[in-house]
Amino acid sequence: MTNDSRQFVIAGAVTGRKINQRLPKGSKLKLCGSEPQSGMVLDTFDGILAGQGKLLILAGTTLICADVQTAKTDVLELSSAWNRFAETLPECDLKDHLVRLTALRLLFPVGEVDVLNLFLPLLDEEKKTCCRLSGLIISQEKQSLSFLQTHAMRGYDAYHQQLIQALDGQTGGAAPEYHEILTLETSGYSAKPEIRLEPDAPVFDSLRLLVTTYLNVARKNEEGVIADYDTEFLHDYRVSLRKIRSVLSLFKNVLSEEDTAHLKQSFSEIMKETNLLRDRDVYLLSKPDYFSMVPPRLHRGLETLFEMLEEERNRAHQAIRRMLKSQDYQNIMSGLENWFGPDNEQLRGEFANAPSKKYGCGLIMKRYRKVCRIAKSITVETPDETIHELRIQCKKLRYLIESFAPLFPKKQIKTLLKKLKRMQEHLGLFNDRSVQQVSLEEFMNNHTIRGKKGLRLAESIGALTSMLYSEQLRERDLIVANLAAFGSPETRTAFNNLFMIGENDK
Amino acid sequence: MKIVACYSNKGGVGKTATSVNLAYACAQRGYRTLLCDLDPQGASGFYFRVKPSAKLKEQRFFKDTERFIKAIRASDFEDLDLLPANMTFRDFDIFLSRMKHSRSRLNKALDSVNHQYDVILLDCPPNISLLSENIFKVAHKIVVPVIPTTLSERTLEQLYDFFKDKGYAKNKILPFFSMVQRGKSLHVETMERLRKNHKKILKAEIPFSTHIEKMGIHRAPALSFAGRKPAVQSYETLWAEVESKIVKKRR
Repeated sequence: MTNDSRQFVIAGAVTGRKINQRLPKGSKLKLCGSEPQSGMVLDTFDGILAGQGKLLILAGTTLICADVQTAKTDVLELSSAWNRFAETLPECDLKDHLVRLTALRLLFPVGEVDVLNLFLPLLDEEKKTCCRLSGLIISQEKQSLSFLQTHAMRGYDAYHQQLIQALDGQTGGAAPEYHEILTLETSGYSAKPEIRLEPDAPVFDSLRLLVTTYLNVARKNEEGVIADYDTEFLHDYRVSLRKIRSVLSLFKNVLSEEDTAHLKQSFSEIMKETNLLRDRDVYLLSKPDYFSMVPPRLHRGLETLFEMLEEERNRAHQAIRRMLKSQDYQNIMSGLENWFGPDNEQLRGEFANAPSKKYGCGLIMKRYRKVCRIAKSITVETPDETIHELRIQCKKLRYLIESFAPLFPKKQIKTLLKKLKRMQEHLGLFNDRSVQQVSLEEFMNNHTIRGKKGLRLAESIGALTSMLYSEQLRERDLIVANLAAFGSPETRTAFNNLFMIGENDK
Repeated sequence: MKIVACYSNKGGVGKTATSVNLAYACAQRGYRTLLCDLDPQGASGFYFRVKPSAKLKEQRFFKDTERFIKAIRASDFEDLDLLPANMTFRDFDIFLSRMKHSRSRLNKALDSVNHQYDVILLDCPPNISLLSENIFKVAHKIVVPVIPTTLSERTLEQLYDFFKDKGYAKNKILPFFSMVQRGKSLHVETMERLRKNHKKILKAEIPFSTHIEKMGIHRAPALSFAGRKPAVQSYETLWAEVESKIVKKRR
């Protein structure tokens, strides 16, 4: 029972008849007619699947995932209506794969195609099946892409080789670019668009480029937040605004002091409006984790808590929807866009004309030294406030490195950021756990529920709070344990090599 | 891995039809199945459209296990492979004994076959010979088609006597009624009598059926093209009964 098989992706529609012309006498593919089915190509807003060379198609109740690089196709039969989130697919390898790729994102229809299923046996003179060819032909108007797979059968290798040779003659060598064959309506959106900074350009120009890029990212997410497609729209929206805010506050003396204060406040006010929704989203996304934290007898109380959180979440979403659609908001945003536009002659700060790379290196090194100084002072007895201070400084350092990243070798920046991220992970969890305790307390204070229900709710919140507290303590220990690695001579040298040179340039 | 032989010391009792359909039913139940056509007439292979391999005629074939493995052909059906006929039975003994005592002297190549299949079905030639004796030794169960006539009754008694004389395990023999025509009182009476004397006779019986005869035209197991006909379905019942005997033995 041989499992030998070869995969092919071929630009164009490959029919049994065409292959038969290339097969030797005595072996023929049995031609079986089948009807094409219409299907929808799906992808996330940020085109993750296209980026990975995957073609995900929903045809009726069949979900097909074809990989242009490996030519492999996965098929999943859906038994019930699907909300187009990978997470809600029935358990299988394809689900795991899609969840890994698309995470929390909704899969949008990006194009219509016809899907034709092929399953052709190759017969010898006795009409015995000697190998098989299966596959999919995906077509859009007159353009097609064929994903084919041969299936060898034990004792019939010669026939399998014949089929492979016939197919080899049809491929053009390299894997075809499916974007060139199928027309798909992709958004072209990226949460991290490539930014081209010039090392010697005035830092003012770099700041303007960074702000306008992220402002654009934020604006592209507005529609998704309003429609509430998935939680990543709000997340990306907030991240880009936060990046803008940190550029404004970390790039000292590039803008005038007054302008900086005014702009920071504008962005902060918008951000503040979205805090509650994001907070509730985070709760709801980790609902299963919370349930696993407390004993099952407290789950009823937790159900009540989550019902209330969901109601709050929906109200918060309504509020943001109103805000984003309001004329006020539109005015503020276009005002900000204009402010950073090329025609606006803003007041410039003292260092506005400093060369970007040198300026960036200076900021990064200064921040890094600060982080090291705090890190060095931390022991088991250090108060929580110092840990929070370390978290904030690390965050600032990360934003600085990320902002100036386009000016440095990608690989080195990546290694450095990886170290920083590992550290931040524990700092982040430490902070999350402490914030969650406060927010639960606030929740309790704001909602008074009488009777048994209220008692159950209080009980479950109490249990959750104590679990969160012990997790916070555990994260604290991990932070202390990880500090050494971050302050190591190796990391220090890496920082020096990358940023000291720039700092000392000129 | 279990070895099930389909054997009768009398010809024309529906033995090959049984082997082919049992193998098909077995594979359909998800067992990785190998059907070995030991009958030189090569009828099993014909039913699966598999051309007999010229190489198989060579002597010492079964001593060269790698070549034996190479002779195995996939059928058109999932989980069902076939070893086409035309072999020298003297060497087949060695093959069978190696299969059975896989732990002791099995070489690597044969070991791999052992793990590739859950059930090996042997379509045996209709005689008592050295080959059949070896089959009696290695097979876990021997399915014996019996047409309910006086002559077949005698043949079955002969087989039991032979087992007794040679000291083989009689409980390996699983007779069942084949090509049954319930309209014939002779058939009905013979079956009643035999069931009284031999408790081991399987409950399933295969009726005489034109659908089974048509296998020669379709060149495929009757279950694959006429699986809804009650007569043909009785092969599934038969397999289920045989399967229960193998499973029981496993415990």
